[in-house]
Amino acid sequence: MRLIVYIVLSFATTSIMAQDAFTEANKNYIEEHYKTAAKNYEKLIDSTQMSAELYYNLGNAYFKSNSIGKAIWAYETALKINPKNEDAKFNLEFVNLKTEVQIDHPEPAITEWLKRLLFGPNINLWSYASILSSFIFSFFLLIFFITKSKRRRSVSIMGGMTFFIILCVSTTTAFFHKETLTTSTEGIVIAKKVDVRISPLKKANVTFKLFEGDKVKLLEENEDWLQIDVNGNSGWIKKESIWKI
Amino acid sequence: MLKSFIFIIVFITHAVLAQEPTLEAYVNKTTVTENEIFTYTIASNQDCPITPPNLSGFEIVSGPIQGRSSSTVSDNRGTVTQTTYSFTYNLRLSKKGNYSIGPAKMKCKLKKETTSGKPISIKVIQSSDESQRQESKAEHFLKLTSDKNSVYVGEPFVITLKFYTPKKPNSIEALEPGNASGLWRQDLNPNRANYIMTQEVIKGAAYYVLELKQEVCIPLRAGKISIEPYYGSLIYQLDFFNSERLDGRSNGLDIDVKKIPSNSPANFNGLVGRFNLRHEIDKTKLIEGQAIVFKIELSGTGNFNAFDQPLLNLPSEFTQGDPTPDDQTTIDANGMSGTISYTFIISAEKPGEFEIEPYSFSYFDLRDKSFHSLSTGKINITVEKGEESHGSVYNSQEDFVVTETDIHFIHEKNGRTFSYYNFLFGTWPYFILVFGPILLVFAFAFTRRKIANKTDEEKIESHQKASVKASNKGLDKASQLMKNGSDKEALKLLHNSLITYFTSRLNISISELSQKTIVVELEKKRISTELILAFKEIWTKIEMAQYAPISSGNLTETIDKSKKLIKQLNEKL
Repeated sequence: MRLIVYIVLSFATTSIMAQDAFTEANKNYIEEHYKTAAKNYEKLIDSTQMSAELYYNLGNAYFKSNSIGKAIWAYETALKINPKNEDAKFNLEFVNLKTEVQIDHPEPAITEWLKRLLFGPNINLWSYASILSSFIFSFFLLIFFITKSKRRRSVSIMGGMTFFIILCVSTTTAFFHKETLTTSTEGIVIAKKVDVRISPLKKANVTFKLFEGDKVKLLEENEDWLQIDVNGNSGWIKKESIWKI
Repeated sequence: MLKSFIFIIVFITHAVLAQEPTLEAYVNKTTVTENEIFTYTIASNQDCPITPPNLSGFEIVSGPIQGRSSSTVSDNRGTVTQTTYSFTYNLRLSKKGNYSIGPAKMKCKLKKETTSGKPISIKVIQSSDESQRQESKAEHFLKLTSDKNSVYVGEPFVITLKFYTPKKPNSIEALEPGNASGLWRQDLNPNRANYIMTQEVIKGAAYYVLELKQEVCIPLRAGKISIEPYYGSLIYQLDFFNSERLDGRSNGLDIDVKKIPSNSPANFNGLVGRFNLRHEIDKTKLIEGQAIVFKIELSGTGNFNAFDQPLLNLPSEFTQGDPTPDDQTTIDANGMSGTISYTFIISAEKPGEFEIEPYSFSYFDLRDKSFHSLSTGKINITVEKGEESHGSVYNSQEDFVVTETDIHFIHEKNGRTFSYYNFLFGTWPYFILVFGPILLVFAFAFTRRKIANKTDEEKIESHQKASVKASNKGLDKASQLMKNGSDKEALKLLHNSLITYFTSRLNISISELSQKTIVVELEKKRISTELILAFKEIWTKIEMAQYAPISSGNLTETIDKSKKLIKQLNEKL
């Protein structure tokens, strides 16, 4: 019991402290101290207290500090956490227009629609849904095994099947939600201009150039280099030039 | 014999009429040893009669071998198919000295006679002077050329890097451009995957020529601009396991960049080329608070990179956001061309009659070497008073959208926070909570079915097992009661435990249960006399104890004996 109280209290204290730090960073932003605001938002992210709003505000602070690439990275991350964040979507489109080159990244409409429909700020929503549906499914299964009434049996089959489908869907969604948030498949160029080389060597041929804010797909990586793909054109780029989403 | 060797035209194709005839002659080696065979080839793009040069001083080992080859080259400039007609001789010289092969001649119908250029010099050395040949061997080299050597500031020119090599390379290993300051450079084909390879004859020797790079350059300052040598390396596959690298640096280039004439207008900021200016405004009459969309579009050919974001001279009652640029320019060998536009969102804050000053700039036209000025002209705007209750009036959704000229404001409240340690999915509690209930239900159903499907024998067996367990438990409890001093209860429990044991184990009903029936049943099961006697002793003692009190020590001993008896009987039954 003591342990539970301790956990609840420590969690509540952390949340209150995080909210205070967030408010402080917002104050810096309103007072137009954008670089300080960005540093304070970054500190919150380092303390693992992440949220879509935090990344969104960080994006604004970066943009106002003339760091377009970092701003795009922050908005993309905010949208990854909560694809329904309309402000992040607007600001991302707005900032994208300020980049040197606008590269199209066609994503299937169905994928975007599914992400908006299924993913939200609660990272465990679908895990809870799968646990609940597992309990209800088990209940119908139990009824099916113990009852001798035909009517109850058919009701338990229908109910069982429905909740089994819900269980499968929610478990799959929970898996993909976690995968989406914990793995990085894309990155944003944060350097002003980057040479993309044919191989991960300093002297290798430059195949094309990328500019700040360009979004790339990540293919492979070694100690210092990342292999990237931009609409079918691939090459190697120094790691420090890219922030993973 | 050779003099009389004349090639006859079979027919004249339309290609003959369309293409200018070319004739080339080359050797594979310009320095040979005595009696070494070398090849001499005459090649043309037309199938016309060719008169070979006088080869009387040479020994013709074989030839002429007639050949015809077609090649198709595709690149971003289109696809070209070329047919080459060739005549190859294998020649030999037996004496040391300097020799010369005169030019070959070709005559096509309706065309002038074509010759293959200068005579080719052949040096014959003794076999012992092999080192001389190494020195004079046709080496590979890189050549950097420019289409113009003298340009104005802002005037584009194209530089081309070519690799000349006597052998056919397999791949390109590295390519590094040389440094150049005061120059804006852009690769015309940055994602080049296929390199164009042609053949060229230089001083009578044939070379494979690989175009490695073509860049359009725009000088940013006047004076001499030096382009440092480019580096390139190619790989040749000698055999399956071995390869050879040939690398080198090209020549550098000096470009003379002339100043734009000093009489430039005030609004000239370095644009060179030919340009047009267009502007669009969506309305000139509006209500205060409404926005105007004003677009300035520059089109043409020239150094668009020198075109800065236009600065509008607006009345103080107008506010303007950052313009949205739209760059639709492309780069080719002629420089930059296309259009570049800036869209301004301007809003009027007060009613009245206003004038937007003309936006103008000048450019230097290379054709007439003079300055030209372009302007949008004055624009008159009428702003009417809006409704008083509204600071800003938006007539439609469209008006509302276009007035957004900055990012949306920050969120003042933090949302649901999380860390990567908060994920429930994939943890043990998650799997237990998801799969636990289902597994429990299946386990329950399985057990239930197993019980329902038991045979009579299995049922008796499990009943007996339960009885043995109960009687053992009863005896343990009796021992405990003895320790607590409850002798009577202990005796009763001992009796009941034995009854339970024998009724279930020997399948005797309680009504028939007696020492005698138990002994009969034990004998039937071939239990040893020793155990039967032990049973009789215990049973008698218990029966006796019900009428006459029994000492505690005696009762404890009886309980222990009963435990031992049950254990031994369990082994036998």
